[in-house]
Amino acid sequence: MKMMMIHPNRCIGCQNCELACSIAKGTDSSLGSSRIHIFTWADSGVSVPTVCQQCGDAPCVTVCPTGAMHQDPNAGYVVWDSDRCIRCKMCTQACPFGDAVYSARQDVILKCDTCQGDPQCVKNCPEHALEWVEDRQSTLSRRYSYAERFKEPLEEL
Amino acid sequence: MGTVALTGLNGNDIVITHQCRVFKRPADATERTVNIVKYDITHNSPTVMSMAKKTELKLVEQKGKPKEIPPQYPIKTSSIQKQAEARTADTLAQKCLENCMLNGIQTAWDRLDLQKPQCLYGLNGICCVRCTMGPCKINPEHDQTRGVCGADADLIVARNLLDAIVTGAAAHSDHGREIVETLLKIGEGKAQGYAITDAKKLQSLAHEFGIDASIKDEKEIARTVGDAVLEEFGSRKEELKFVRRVPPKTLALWKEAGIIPRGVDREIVEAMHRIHMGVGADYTNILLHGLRTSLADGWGGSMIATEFSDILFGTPAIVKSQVNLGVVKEDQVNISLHGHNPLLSEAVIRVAGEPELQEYARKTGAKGINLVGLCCSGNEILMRQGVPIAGNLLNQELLIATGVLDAMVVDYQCVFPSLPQTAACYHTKVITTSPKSIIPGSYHITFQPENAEDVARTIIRAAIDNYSRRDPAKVFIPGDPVTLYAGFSAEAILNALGGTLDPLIDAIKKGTIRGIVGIVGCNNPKLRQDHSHVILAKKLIAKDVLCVETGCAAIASGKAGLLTPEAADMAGGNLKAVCKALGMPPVLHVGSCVDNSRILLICAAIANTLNVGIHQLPVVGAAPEYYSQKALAIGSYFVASGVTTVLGPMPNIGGSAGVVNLLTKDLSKAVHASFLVEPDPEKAADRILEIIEEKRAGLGI
Repeated sequence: MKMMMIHPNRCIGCQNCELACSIAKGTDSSLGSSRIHIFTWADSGVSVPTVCQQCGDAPCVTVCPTGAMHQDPNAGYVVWDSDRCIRCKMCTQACPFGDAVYSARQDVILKCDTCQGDPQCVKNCPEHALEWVEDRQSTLSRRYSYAERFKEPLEEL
Repeated sequence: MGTVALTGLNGNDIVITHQCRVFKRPADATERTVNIVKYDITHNSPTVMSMAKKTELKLVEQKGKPKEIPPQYPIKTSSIQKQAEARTADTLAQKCLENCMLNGIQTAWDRLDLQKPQCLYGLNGICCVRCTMGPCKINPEHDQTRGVCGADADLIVARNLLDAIVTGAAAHSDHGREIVETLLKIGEGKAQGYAITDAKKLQSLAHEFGIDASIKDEKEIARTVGDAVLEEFGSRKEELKFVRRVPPKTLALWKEAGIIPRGVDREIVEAMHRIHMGVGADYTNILLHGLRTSLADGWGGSMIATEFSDILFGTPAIVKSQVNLGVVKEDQVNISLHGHNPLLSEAVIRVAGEPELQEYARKTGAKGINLVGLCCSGNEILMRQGVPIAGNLLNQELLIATGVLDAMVVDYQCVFPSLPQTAACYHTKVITTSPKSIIPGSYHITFQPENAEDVARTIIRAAIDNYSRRDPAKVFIPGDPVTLYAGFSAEAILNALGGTLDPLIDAIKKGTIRGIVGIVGCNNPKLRQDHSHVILAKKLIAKDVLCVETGCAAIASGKAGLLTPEAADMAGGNLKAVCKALGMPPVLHVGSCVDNSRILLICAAIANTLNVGIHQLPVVGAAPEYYSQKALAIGSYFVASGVTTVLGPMPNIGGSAGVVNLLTKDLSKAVHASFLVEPDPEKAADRILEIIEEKRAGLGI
């Protein structure tokens, strides 16, 4: 199953992902439709993307009174159903990451749905800070660079 | 998703056909919202789709008896073949491209892949880098709703678009200026080897410019006309001279809209003025001036270039020649003439046949000197001299990769700065000839009318000297050339019809020819090369629509065999009958990109005969694969003249709903024509046919 892996160290804060998401998902032409959000600290040059983590035991699902927020077993992500939603906004309070956002103007919950498994933000990231990878491969690069640290000292022995 | 009807929506909506969504401005919006048109960035790039998974190049091991492989053909992997097929529909280019990919020779396609994913600010025109208070971008997500100066998305997009249009207009107009300056030099006796070829046209233009008819000396006429035409570039006139050629009903629309062009350079300078920070902020006002500037190109700079090139080098008549990468010859010195201005290429053609140079070539072991054209320079010498043409925009690097190109001689426009890099893999010498167009890594020799022939001889000698430096192991000629017919200037078409446009107009009235479509413009590596051009032309002629083509589009049709009388078999029954009767192709090669002015004149002639405005004619424009700023200028002057134009690639304006609306809808209130964006050539054909029928209904035919 594929999942989103974020590498904040690679993020340059270009916001291409936000534009791509708004363009792909926006229903009323406003750029304020992005489901992914970038925070940049100008003093340190650090940028961090945040987006719905598609939790398995999702607080937003637990708290939803109507089942509008629910797990889609086939898709493998948390789905928001606009027709069932009563806009109580409990999900926005429950999400520990703050990535379920209520937009009053559009009257929708802005929450990532992985673009049906073909995320546009990933495609538009020039730095590969966002990756769409198989679950067991998601931390491959980090495991590999850690393991690589042993290579040289062990070679010398 | 799919096509959404234009009716029934309020004026705040943007509607783009195919693969796009309808965006509605919310009724209760309190702050300015930015309307973003969805631009499907992956649609136009099959290469991105196929490269999404990086495929490894592997030599496939052959079990059993080893295949005999000539040294320059390592075994192709199917992924390279697939990639080449996805990149271009030109079969010879496919083979050349496979060869390049195998040998690690970078092409424009590769560089596009490296650039992806492209910046969405740039793609939507909401990036402004003009002044040092910036750079600015629009992104309400971060409260960036205005640039530092206060420019909103509409203004930033409008300024960027105006810049593109006038850059294109400037290119055409500067080219036109150089032709007129050469005419002046002929008048002063200082233009080596140049002469008046179409004296009748010079007389006719002298009359048009009100030159004293008593002047009989050709040189004096040349000087006087030259002086008068150079005035067109200045600030003294209220309107360009050629505005008198515009049908009165079209001119009335321009007067109402305030877009009658006054001076070629003047409009461009005013446009650049308006692009400066703090000069107005009304996108409609800004873009109307953009239209005016484009008209100063179409009915100004470009028309001047065409008319005076005809005077200097001859008005084209129907000519038969050959096209595609296979026009190079292994046993001859191959010289390609690339760029746009026929001043250079005509001089080279003139001297190439000289006995000394022919002998010099033979001494080196070559059977002769083979001149081939590329892009619009190629089109100019094809139209007038029947010189074979090697290809269009995306063929320029591939031509070097045939390994038999001894010199790539260029002047300006559409010449990739990467050519010396490609040439370095081979023996080819890239030779630049204009001080306006110098490329690091190439050779330069400045070309002027005063010493044109001497320079041409030097260039040819350099190419002949280079012949022996060919590496036989790198020779790769991908196939044989095909036949095409070109030279369909307005005068040639008139001639073929017996001296009057009446047969054509009658056919249109009767409906045996439903209408005329001008397919123009470039290649773009974001789209499969030549694919849209050919599909569009084939679909239109099958419905009895006559196609007139210029530039890279015409070359694409040529490669596909559409520019031959035999291609009439692909046309609908009525058009086929007309073509067979006249022995003409169903698709007419009208010339280079400045020769789009020929299409304007044909439209004007038909409109004047029917006593209507150009916007009432069943005539539509299409630029299915354009890339350049020049193409945007051409599209603008066609639309401003009343010819609705369908673009393939979306221009970088998606960030402003206002600008998109203006171009696709509101413009029609002023000039009764507009732009459409439709990347799918089949759908574009359908829409064009609808528009043609609407126009016919309007005329009652």
